[in-house]
Amino acid sequence: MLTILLPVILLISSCSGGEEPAQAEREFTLPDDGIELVDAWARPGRENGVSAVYMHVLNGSADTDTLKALSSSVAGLVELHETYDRGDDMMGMREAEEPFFAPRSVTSMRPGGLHVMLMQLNRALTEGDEIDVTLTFARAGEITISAVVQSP
Amino acid sequence: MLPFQTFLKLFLLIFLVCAFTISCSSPGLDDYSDVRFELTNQNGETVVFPDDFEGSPLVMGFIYTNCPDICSFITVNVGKVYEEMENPGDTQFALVTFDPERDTPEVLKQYAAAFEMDKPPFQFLTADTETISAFMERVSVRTQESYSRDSEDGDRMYFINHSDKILLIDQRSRLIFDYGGSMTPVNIIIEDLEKLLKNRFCSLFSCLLYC
Repeated sequence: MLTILLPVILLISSCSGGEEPAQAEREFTLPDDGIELVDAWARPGRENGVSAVYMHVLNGSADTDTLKALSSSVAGLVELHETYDRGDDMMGMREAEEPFFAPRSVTSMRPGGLHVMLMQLNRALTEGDEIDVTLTFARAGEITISAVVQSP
Repeated sequence: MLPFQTFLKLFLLIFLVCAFTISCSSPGLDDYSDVRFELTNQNGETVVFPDDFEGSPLVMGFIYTNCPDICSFITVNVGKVYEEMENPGDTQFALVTFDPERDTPEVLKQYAAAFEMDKPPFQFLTADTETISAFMERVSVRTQESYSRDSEDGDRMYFINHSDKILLIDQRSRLIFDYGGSMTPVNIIIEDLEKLLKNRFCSLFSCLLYC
């Protein structure tokens, strides 16, 4: 088993205090092979609206893997998106262009960055609900996970 | 002629009042007291900014409901400021959409319900496109359509690049702080808001003096 430490930087900005960003470390144990998805959670959303799902993608294999497809029973359309700072006092969101996962690495989908975007929700998602999300990888194949709706 | 001792006491009193007033008064980053925007909340009621908020501090965020990432954090942060304050008093909380085309009062009500915020003191506000455009310009919230696509059922889906903001406005409609909306720790906003609530007496006092 290969254990790595990934510094998870909680991007905390302050316009009034100018404080240093808080940092926390999260320890992951990579699987011996293939892909494992951990700590999945989702945002609340209204019916016909949108939501986002966050998780950590652990690629334990010696090869790069690629995300080929996404689906969920609660959404008509599912895509991998990323939020980015445009640098002109505006935040933008775009479809992630190259959803690949490097060998023996952890890719974190987290608020303000990479996320699975659920669109055309067929029901409202409120705190405590559990939803399914299926990610299909080129090498690891289809993996379905359960994500709990939270408002942390 | 006033006796010297009385004159000295009077001078000291005036000095203390001036010092107190100066220390209490906050110049603010902006002043919205001279504007008037007619908005509609999630219940279809008319809300006039800033008139209907005057007299209470206001925490105001800016969102569009088709944004699941940044805007949901702005929404949750506004909710958490209220939930985590020991004594929010009569502080008001509002989230204003910059996507009035899609964010009707009905849509905002559903959105508020999903976040368990369709209840006082939260208001989710929209208006006609022209009013929202002027309002966003006045509060320095920038927006720009990013990319769009047609869904299978023929609907056009579009996304918006936007400022990431929460504002703290005092009871006299002055902008006190301008925060990064999604990532600012809630406790920072709470600390500022509590100072504002504590200084309310000061502000009232200075207002009376200036008036």
